[in-house]
Amino acid sequence: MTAGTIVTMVITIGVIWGGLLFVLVTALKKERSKEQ
Amino acid sequence: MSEKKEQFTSRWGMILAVIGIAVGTGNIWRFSRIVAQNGGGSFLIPWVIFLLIWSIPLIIAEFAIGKATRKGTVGGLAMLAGERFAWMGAFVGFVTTAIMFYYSVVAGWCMKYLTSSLSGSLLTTGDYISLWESFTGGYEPILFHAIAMAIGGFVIYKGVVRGIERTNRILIPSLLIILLTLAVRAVTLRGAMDGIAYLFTPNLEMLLDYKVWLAALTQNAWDTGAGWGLILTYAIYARKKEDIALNAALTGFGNNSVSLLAGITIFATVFALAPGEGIKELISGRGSTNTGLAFIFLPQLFGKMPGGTGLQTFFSSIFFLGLTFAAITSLISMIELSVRVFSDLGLERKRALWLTLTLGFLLGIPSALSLTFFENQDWVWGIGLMISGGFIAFAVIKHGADKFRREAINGEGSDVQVGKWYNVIITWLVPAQVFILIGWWFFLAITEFDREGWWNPFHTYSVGTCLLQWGVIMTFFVVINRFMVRRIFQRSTEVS
Repeated sequence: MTAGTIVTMVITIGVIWGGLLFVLVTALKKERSKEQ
Repeated sequence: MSEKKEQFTSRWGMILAVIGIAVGTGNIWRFSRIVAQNGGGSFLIPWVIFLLIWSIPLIIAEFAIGKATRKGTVGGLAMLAGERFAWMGAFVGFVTTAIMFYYSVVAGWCMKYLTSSLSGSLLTTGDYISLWESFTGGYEPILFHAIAMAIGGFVIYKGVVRGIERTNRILIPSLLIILLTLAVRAVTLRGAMDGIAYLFTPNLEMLLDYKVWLAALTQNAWDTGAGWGLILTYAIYARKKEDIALNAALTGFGNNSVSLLAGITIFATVFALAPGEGIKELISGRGSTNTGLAFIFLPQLFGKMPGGTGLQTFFSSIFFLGLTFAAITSLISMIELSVRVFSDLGLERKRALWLTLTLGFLLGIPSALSLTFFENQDWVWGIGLMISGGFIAFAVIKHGADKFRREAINGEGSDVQVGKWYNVIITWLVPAQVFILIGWWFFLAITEFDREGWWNPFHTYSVGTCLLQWGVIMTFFVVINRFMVRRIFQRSTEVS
């Protein structure tokens, strides 16, 4: 794998899966605070 | 089947249902082919950008319109843009319903291959092209189309909570488990890393090619469910305290995460089991409308998997089970959209369902019998979706983008506040993307797909066929605009 491949992999997976994880955690926190 | 006002029971129930809309067969078979054709990693960068400037802004708009108006596409757009524009909402609803007619046929194909795989007959077939051609050339697709419509109809009959929510609570996690299982198997095959490297290797020359950017925008427009009116329909059943912005982001990122997972699985499998010619097969997109990959090429590869017949049958079966789940969860949302519009127009919900199922079955038969007809409908209404996205953006602009943002998006229940950047995207970027996309696809039709007969309305991939079919439908809805408005708002007044 070239450096370009690894950089693209990190950017794509970081933004898509990282973005999903970030939004999911934020939503969980907000939902919990709404319940309280 | 009651007419009482139902709501999703929780945020997660609603999110799973909306992800069920977005995740369809296109995530699994179209995404991989388009990535392969557009230089692997070079495609992924614009694909991520257009998720942020096309899909998520339109998903936010749909969530907000549905939750604020509590009406389907016709009433929702009329309330937002003004009664004169109810026909635009009707067009949005019709485009998605026209897609439902042939999407049910696709769901039927997936079911047929699932049953063939489970019975063991699929992997013993030597000639997958003949198998596909003899299946689609016969009458069997009508039977499976009927079964798909019946399953979708049953779910809608059970209602929002016991039908839509419960089905998605089971099918979407199951689909994710299936995809993860397939992904683990794929990446542990010898040679799989070459496929993953191809998927993520950028080609700087292609990154500067405008065609790659247009392909990425098209994939987001078709694949995320943004601009279809489906998310608007489910948002009608959102709780009053339901958030919009975070839920829209969850939908967009969730959908593209599934595409990425499916892409890793397919590239790893193709490079491991068909080194050399595999990527050519992916790029060629043999078979009509993406079907070559799923129904001809992948069954061949499952037959080459190490581990013996038992494991081959297992992986082939769960692949088609996943495709079936993806198709069914999207199909039920299309049925619900149509049922909701008919209900808003004054039809009792049960009758609206029967009408939708009858029309859906009858008008899907031509696509079940003829792949040429199927391809024409996919072409006409696939591009029609971009007009739908434009109409939704128009309704927001007509209402006042900033007012819409403050009152509908950032209103009661919002967990995060959407900033003024949203006004710029929905007012300028989304309409610009609509014009560029439609112009681009028509340019392709004139210069590549049908140079001689691009104007001919009876050619499959012509500009003429789009203009004729859109024109007929739009004219009809403009003529009955006043009738629709009277039916919807008179009924609302009576109910309230």
